[in-house]
Amino acid sequence: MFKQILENIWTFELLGIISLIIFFGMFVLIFVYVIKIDKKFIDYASSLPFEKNNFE
Amino acid sequence: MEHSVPLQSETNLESFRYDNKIVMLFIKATVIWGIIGMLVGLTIAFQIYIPALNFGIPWLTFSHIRPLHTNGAIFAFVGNGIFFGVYYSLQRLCKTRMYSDTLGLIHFWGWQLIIVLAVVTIPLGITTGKEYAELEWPIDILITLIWVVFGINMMMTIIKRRERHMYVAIWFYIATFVTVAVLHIINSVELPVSLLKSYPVYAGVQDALVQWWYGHNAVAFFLTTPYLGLMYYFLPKAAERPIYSYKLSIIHFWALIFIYIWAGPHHLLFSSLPDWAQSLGTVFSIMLLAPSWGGMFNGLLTLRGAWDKVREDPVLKFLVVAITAYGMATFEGPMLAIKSVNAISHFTDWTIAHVHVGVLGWNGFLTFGILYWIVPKLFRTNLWSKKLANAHFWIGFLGIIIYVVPLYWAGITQSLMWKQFTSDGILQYANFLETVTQIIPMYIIRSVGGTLYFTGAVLMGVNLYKTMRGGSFLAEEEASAPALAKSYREPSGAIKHRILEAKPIPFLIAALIVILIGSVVEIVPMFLIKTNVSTIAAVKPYTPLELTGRDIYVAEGCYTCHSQLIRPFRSETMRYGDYAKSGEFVYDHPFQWGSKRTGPDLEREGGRFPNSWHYFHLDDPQSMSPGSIMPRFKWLLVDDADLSILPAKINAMITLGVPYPQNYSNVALTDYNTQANTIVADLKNSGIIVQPQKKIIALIAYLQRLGTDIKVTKPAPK
Repeated sequence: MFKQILENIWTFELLGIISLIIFFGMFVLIFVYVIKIDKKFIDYASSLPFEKNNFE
Repeated sequence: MEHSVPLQSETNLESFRYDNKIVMLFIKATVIWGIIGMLVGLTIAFQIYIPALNFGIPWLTFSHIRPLHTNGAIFAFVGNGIFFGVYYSLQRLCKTRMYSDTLGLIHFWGWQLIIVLAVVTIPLGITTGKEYAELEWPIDILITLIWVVFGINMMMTIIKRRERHMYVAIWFYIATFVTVAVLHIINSVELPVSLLKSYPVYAGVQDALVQWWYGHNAVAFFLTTPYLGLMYYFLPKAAERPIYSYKLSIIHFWALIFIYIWAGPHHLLFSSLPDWAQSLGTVFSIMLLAPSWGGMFNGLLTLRGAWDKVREDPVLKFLVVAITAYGMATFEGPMLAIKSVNAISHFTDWTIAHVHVGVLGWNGFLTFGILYWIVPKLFRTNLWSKKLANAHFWIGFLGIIIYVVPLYWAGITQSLMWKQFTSDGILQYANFLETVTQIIPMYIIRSVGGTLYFTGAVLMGVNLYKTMRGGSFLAEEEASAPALAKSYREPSGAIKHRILEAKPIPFLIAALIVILIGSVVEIVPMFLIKTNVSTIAAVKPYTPLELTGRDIYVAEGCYTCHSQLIRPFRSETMRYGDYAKSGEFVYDHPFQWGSKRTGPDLEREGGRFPNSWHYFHLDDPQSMSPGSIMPRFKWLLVDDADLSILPAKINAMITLGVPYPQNYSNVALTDYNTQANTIVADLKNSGIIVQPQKKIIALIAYLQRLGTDIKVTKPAPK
């Protein structure tokens, strides 16, 4: 059955739409994820390569 | 850099030592293998227009050592570059020593052993014939083991870290580890015939898809993601300021690893790969521009307000050019994945120019910059000569320009010549050789560029050696950091994403899932849906003699210069014959479509010339094609084909689904001799005396078979 489903949906029209959705979906997800990050945390994370990055 | 947010309450300070010895071992290996890899590259850059520079030695011939150069640049130079960078930065980002010194040493010596085995086997023609995956099955297993050792050492280091959050560089390292493991294992599934010979289980168009899914992602996850990790660590260190936007780096990471994995089929545009797969490759390649340039801008903008330093500091100079080269290569890549551009660029030197912007510019210059930064630090001294480093920068930079510009010129010129018709509608340059001799001046200039770049690398070797001699090596570096509290609660206003980014194993699994999406969508249908690989009744398995000849074709590296894929363009069908159909390659383990036409396509070579022509041509190409730059393969006239494993080869093919009659391996040798004697007799009529067991007989049989199964009309001569 899996093979039949694949045979039926594997047309480029559908693939084009799916890849567009995946592309935008992926970016929207990442953007939402990034926007929700706390600014203070970003400052902390970007200072990690440096020695004095502890928070005492 | 001071911050006031208490993210965790650790007070018990622990002392430990960073292991710099393992870093130093990988640094030395990077410099030594880098210079050797470039020297091999330089050799083939000269050999391409002076083929006699192989001095008649089989293992020194262009087609034997070109794969050595590509493997050397990728896995020996960049590979060791990845490892020294990871071992240095990971310890500091995790505030801990590497998990195990022993695993580190096994990793180091194991990796060097793999390189040495490659240096021995590839020139000797012990090869799978799959680009950047040429190593035979015992070495493939060794690579897997050593890679796992590296992975365990890295993941355990991350697990026992003293820093709660994993910095973005570590994400890139984790994605590199898991993806390279998946790529290597899936692309290397092969059936051993003997200790040094195997056949890939995939054939034809399926093998092509798996190979270029691997090949493209070797670029993505070996040459790119680990080096981006290094960029995110070493650029802020060298510029003494944090990365421009950490948020952008998060987008860069997830978008890049998700999209990159889909792009492989852009290496197979206009091939007999199904259209849906080609289109996916194009679409996702174009998408790649977004995260790639996000990363490039993130790197360059990190230097905002520090450009005065760039004027002075050779380290930053190298890093800036590296990141710019990354931006150029990742702009060009998506453009080359557009079908109308690819129609011109593919199979030409344009591709060679493109990859060298990446490897010489991005990987090379990033490595050099980091080396100039790290070696004085490890030896507690200043760089021996800043002047020499600046000289290296300019020599290397000029070297890249003088390398790539002529090749862009050569690629476009040759492609346009291939496609040029006269007003009467026939090919203007019907003789392929005309399109080669036209671009030889470009090859000469390219070798000058390569010489400059190589010279720069040697100067760096001297500079680093002198720096080491002048300093004292800090093998064990004292450090201290508070232990991580066992129990940990997110602070109020919880930052949900840290659930993932503070836990290495779930992170690894998440990265694995992300890269598997594209892989599964592209590869699984190719194997499950029959219409993706149509069969052609007229296509029959190779005879034992042809199969042996095919193995010789692979071992001699013919695929490095000859494609076997006629694209559906009038200019190609007129020159070479009917375009390629997927059903023609169903018995091709491995596929031999090639990626570069230094010589003409051979897909329908069969029957084009008499046996005697091939005999003389392989002995001395210039005797048949004056001005040809193909090297002589005269050893094929005197060496015997290895028939001891012929029955095993036939049995392996039967196991892989090639429809030979039952127990055919018992009579294969008889059939071999019968067909060989026919060719011997034909050659005798042309005055050539040769014994049937010689390699050249098998190779001629294979060449004469090529494309004849469905060949209908004889095309115009090449």
